[in-house]
Amino acid sequence: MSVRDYMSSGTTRKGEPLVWVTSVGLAIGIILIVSLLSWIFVQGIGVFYPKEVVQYTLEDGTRVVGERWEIRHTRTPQGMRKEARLYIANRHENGHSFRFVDFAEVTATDYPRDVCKAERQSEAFSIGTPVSLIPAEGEPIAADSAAFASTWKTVQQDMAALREEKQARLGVQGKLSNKQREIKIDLYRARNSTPDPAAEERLVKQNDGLSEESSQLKAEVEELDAQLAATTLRLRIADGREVDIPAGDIIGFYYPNQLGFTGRLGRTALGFWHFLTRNPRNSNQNGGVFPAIFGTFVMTVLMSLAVTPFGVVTAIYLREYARDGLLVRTVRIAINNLAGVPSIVFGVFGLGFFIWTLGAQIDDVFFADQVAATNQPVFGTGGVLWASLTLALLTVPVVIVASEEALAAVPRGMREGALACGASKWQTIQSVVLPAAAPGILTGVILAMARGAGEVAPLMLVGVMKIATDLPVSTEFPFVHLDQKFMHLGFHIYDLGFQSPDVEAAIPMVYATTMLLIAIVVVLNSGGILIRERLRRKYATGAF
Amino acid sequence: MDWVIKVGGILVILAVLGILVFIASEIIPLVKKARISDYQVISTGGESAVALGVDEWSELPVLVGEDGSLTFLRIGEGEMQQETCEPSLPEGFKPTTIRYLPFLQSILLGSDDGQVATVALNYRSEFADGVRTIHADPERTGLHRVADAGRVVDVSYGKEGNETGKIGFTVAALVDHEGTVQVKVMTLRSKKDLLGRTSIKPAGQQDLTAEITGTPVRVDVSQDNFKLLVATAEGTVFFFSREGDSFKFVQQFQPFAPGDAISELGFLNGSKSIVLFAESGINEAYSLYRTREGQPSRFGRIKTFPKLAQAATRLAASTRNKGFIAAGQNELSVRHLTTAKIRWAAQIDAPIREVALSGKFDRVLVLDAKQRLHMWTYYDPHPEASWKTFWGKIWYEGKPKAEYVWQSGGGSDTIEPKLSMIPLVVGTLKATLWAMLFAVPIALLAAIYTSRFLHQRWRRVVKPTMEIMASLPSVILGFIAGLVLAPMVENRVPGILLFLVLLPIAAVVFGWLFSTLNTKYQITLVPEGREFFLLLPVVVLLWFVADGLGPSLEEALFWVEVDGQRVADFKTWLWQTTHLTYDQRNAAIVGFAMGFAVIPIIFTLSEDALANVPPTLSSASLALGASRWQTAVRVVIPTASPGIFSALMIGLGRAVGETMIVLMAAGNTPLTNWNPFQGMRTLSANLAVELPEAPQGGTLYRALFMGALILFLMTFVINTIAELLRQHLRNKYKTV
Repeated sequence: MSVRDYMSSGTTRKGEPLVWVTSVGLAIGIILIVSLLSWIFVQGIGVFYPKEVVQYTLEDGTRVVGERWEIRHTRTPQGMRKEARLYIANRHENGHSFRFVDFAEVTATDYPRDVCKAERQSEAFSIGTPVSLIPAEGEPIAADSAAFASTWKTVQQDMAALREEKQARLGVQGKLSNKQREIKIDLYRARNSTPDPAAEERLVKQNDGLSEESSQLKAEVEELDAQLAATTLRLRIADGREVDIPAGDIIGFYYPNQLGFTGRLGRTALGFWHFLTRNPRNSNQNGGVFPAIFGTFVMTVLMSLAVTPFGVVTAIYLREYARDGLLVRTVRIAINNLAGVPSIVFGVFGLGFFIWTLGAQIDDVFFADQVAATNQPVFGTGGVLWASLTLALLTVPVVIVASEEALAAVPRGMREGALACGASKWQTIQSVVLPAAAPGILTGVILAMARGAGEVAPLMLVGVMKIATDLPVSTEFPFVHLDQKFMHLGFHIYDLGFQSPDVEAAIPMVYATTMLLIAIVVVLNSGGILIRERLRRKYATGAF
Repeated sequence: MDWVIKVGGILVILAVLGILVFIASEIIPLVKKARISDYQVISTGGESAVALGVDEWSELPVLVGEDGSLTFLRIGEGEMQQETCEPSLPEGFKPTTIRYLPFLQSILLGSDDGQVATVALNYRSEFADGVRTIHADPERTGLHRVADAGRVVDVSYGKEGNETGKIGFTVAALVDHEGTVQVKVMTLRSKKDLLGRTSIKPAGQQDLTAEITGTPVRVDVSQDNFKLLVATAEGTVFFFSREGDSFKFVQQFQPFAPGDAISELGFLNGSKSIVLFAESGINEAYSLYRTREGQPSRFGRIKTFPKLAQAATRLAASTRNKGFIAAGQNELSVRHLTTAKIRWAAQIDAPIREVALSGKFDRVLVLDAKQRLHMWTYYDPHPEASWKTFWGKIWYEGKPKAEYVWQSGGGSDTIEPKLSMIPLVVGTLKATLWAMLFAVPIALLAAIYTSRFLHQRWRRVVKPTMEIMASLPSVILGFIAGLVLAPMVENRVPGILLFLVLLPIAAVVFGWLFSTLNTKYQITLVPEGREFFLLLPVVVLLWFVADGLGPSLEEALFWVEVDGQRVADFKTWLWQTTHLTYDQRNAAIVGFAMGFAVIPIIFTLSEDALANVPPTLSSASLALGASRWQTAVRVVIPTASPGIFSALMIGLGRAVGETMIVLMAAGNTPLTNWNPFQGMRTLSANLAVELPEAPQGGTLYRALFMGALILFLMTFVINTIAELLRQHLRNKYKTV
């Protein structure tokens, strides 16, 4: 009987339709994951891609200008209605950032070339047609005059320099206020815990000096602010009103309808770069996510520093030292169980134990003066240390399981060889077993980092913040501020999408952050697996 | 070095156990009873005092004599000092009845000529050299004539705390005028004049005697001055409610059996509930609630407390929670409304005259007939906690029936905290149920297909893809579910339902059509192990078809009549036909998003279990002439079933504890139902919502830890079952 005859004989085809049913499961799974990922990436990239600004003239003569973000079809009792959702910007002037336009009412659609989009420091965006540039002194320069483009360019450069200068002053001021806080603590100590009138006098004097310096800086910053606001750009917005925008408030400026394809690509790249490197503004709805990236990074690194020794030591103990028996089996079940404990439970433990118990104790013993002087707990509140320890607990099973597997995979021959050469048990482990198992352990750590980077629920209880522009690592002593609260990409998504004052306007930022977080987690995960593969191959040939 | 490793290893294991122990230890105080840490008896030696008051710190209690004189007892270390203060009462004011108002820390006095005076004690604390001393500057704050003549026999007072600056007061008194007792009520308002000075002016004066049948013996105004109760000697309670500046009769009720008179009554903190005591010792609580929308709130019995041996004659309500002291002849007990239980009880050897409870709920003071002051330092941080608080149906104040409710009250003392775990547990199970309903079929079918039918080459691509799905942070799934899917699904329910029905039918029909084709075409068109590629476009196409047909389906099936017109609207149809509401963020959405998180887990583990079935078994089956489907269903799946079950368990464990998705896509209303179109609040989301705001060490804080422990135990049980099954499977394969 040939294969073909066998195949068509009927008996082997029994249940064949049901095989198709099972394939539906896989088809749906794959469709879901592909559509989800592509949706997020399309939306995420789309956030940075400059859209054309469209101008609709409606039946009643009003004009609506904005970026068309979406076209929806809604069913009404009168039949289907097609409407566009326009991002009209100018929230300050309009009171809202979005407007729906019913296509049935539109009489004309234009793409005016002279419309500009200005990114603002104090709010989101302004969209309008430049009318004139009004310098601090002298005549206004009309937008249609020849000098406008070049003057506006120099003004923008000047303003950027001024902003930088202001930022530098603010940095110095921040350092001063930190110093003043320390003096306040010392002063409290000199007055209350260890009375020392001489020191007290010295500190008061020092503080006065700093205050003077600080007020001088403040005056300088105010002077800069005045300069930043001196020159204004006059824009005509959709409804014909003219708005004066301080030139110093404009941190990005372009004509969206004049951009070619390469120009748009350039803008996209620039936008993404700003997103990665800048601080958030306008209650996190615009600007970048640099502090969140940095916070996620620091927290994850601290977590892996904590989790690796613990995980590896436990794995070595379980694999090399503990005698197999009821105890070890129970411990294994316990560890597997730990991997299944909901992450929020770790957060509860972190809050109750690390913060309220351990942190409060540390404050009592080491920071009593500081707490009394500033009236703020140091370690008795959420911070990056407690967050990373909590996540370390959460991810310890991942590292234990991976390390145990890696240790188990080290060939018996290697151990026996080392032992036969007279090495002690620890020497064997240290110089033979651990290097051989390193790739597996590293993979475990990387997978743990991927898990830690994406976890949000426990962090909400142990120190993550909505806005914290002070980074947990800085150039100031002691460089790593373990008690500092921090921002986190995952929490940023939750906070923006669900707790921001204008969720609709925040959604682009949520998409961008989501894309970034997915990229980080996927890269970490696949990186871990890749490193494992590569090192495994290397050791496979390098060993025996 | 060896011992370092050993110690380290054991430490980590202890840390694991430590989590469980720590969380459990945070819950233990909830089951502890009230504790007395100190008991003092102080002989005041004074004349017979008729009222007893106390400051916030219980350091300077005050005794009020029959003539209204105030005697402050400075209780501290060393000798007790007495400071007597003459009342700043007008000439000829002879007190006939005196009451202490704990919430205002004021004394209320009624005179023999129809006047009522209020005297504020004005407690204040002073710090000097780190030592706190309490001082009192008594001052008369009001004098009101409620009746032209007659002896005031009972008096009560209420004050509305209103932010707008207009503050209302109510003075109510029973006045004995030549043998008949009248009920006199006076409403007052404080007004600011043009110069910004506030003055209290009478706003209304009423005589409610005519509305009452029987002899009034007791009058009580609620703290917020909106409710007025009059009890008669015959055992009836009349309830009046304030509307504007006058009181209107609302209800009369007889709380106890006829002939059983009311010995004492009073409002509890929050002015929503009253406790009543009968001569026979019965103790009950009544609360205001509506039985139907639109009706006025009426009093109804919500609790019956344990009976007292003798009738209680004194009541002191806590100003911090729903607790109160009931004092009878010479027994006293601290009771709590929510649980209707006795928290603590004591007996003294002399009849009790007066009782007081300190503002911090930490001292119990009793004045006995021998003019001794008994003072207990009382420690009861969780008076509302009991097994029933968390697991039982409780008739909360203001509710028409006993219910399971989670509503923590947001830190306000006047709102009764409702801490039932049932809505949260049900919410957790509901979210898990809908997630598993969605995830299990897809994950299992995909696992069976991938391990048994899919071509090896593609298997190596499919598995990592599904694993990427597993690594997606749940906050992302939550965001997509809550902000993108929920609004999108809201208008497409009929289309989605259609898709769910059409999909399996289409797959079977497609498969059947294909298997009837000539084998030649079968093999050239779709080689075995690649069916799935052909189905991908089919599924996508089917989705668009179903989505496009959705509105027509809605018009055909899910329509309602509005003003005589047929309007297709699934949500309204759902409400009219099944009385189920549709929330935008609901359990179905959560189930879908959580399915995303659970599918890869179940898929990977069960695929492993299926793939690890020894090939000898399936080869034997195929060799005996079974089709690949028969081999899969009859041989492979049964052999791998413990592994599959274990995979399901681990997926279940993940679904139970998932936080962010539920937090973002479930609406977080603690409801107790199984409707897939309504939201819920799970244990985990509840922790994320409430724990950051819960004061450390409070009842809510510990209740939340209990929630965490339940979650821990739920997943513990589920994971242990999974682990045991896995071990069982491993042993089984050893023999195959």
